[in-house]
Amino acid sequence: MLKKIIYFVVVIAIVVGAVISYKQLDFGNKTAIFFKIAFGDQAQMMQMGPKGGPFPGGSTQGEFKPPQGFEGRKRGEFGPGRGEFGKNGGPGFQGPPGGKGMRGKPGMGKTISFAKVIPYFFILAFFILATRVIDLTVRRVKK
Amino acid sequence: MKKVTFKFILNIFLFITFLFLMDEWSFLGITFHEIAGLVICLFYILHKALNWKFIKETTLRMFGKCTARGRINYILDLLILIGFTLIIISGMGIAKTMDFSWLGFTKENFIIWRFMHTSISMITLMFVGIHVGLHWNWVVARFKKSGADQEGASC
Repeated sequence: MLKKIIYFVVVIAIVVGAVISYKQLDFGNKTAIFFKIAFGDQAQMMQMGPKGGPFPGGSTQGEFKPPQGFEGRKRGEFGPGRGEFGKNGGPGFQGPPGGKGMRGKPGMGKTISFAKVIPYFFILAFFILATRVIDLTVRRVKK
Repeated sequence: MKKVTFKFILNIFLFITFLFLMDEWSFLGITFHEIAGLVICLFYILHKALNWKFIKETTLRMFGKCTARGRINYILDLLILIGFTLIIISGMGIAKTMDFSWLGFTKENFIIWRFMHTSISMITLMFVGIHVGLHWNWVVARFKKSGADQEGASC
């Protein structure tokens, strides 16, 4: 009985973990990209943003949309620029926190962590579990 | 060391390393990701060499007398092989700590290589999960240190 409860808890944990990981990793969209590259328009892929979706209008490409509160104004007409905030005008942009030496280094700002493997582990465990369930079902049906 | 024990240890090593390679910042950073990515390729070839009997038998019987399970295993293995090959090729195209420009990789197609690398890694992860699921009895038998090595008896 205890063994059955443990199995049940493990299965639930894997399924819930896999669903959360699926959303966290954007698994569906990332797997679909390969098929878009292989069978779709490569030029369209070149315009994709870093997270897989095309840049929204107003940020980099397409129709320009002014930010909230500035509707009706043209590009560049948004009042005072950086460095004019606060009583004394403010210091403006001081550069990245790590100093000039950190600029342009690969992976700047990213941290190395074992925790990053966990979502992949759940996805993998889910596929192992799903295959096992299908395999056992097929074997039972055959018998 | 018995061949079957060696195979089991190698498979666990491949499994864990592949999992760590899924995120470039998951273990020791990008340098580890790129070096280990190339090293795992050699171990993958070794994994194939150790299961050569299965590959040879199934290839010969693929279009003749072969069980559905054997066929599925074979096709899946082939897809994983293609997946790993594409991961390595696209990885060379986006490598940051190693220079593969001498192989003709340019920064012009960086985005395409990048998307391919991520996407194929995910697809291959899925295939590896199915592969392990289909060989689960063998994995359990190895942990219990019982049962014969039946890897080659699938077809």
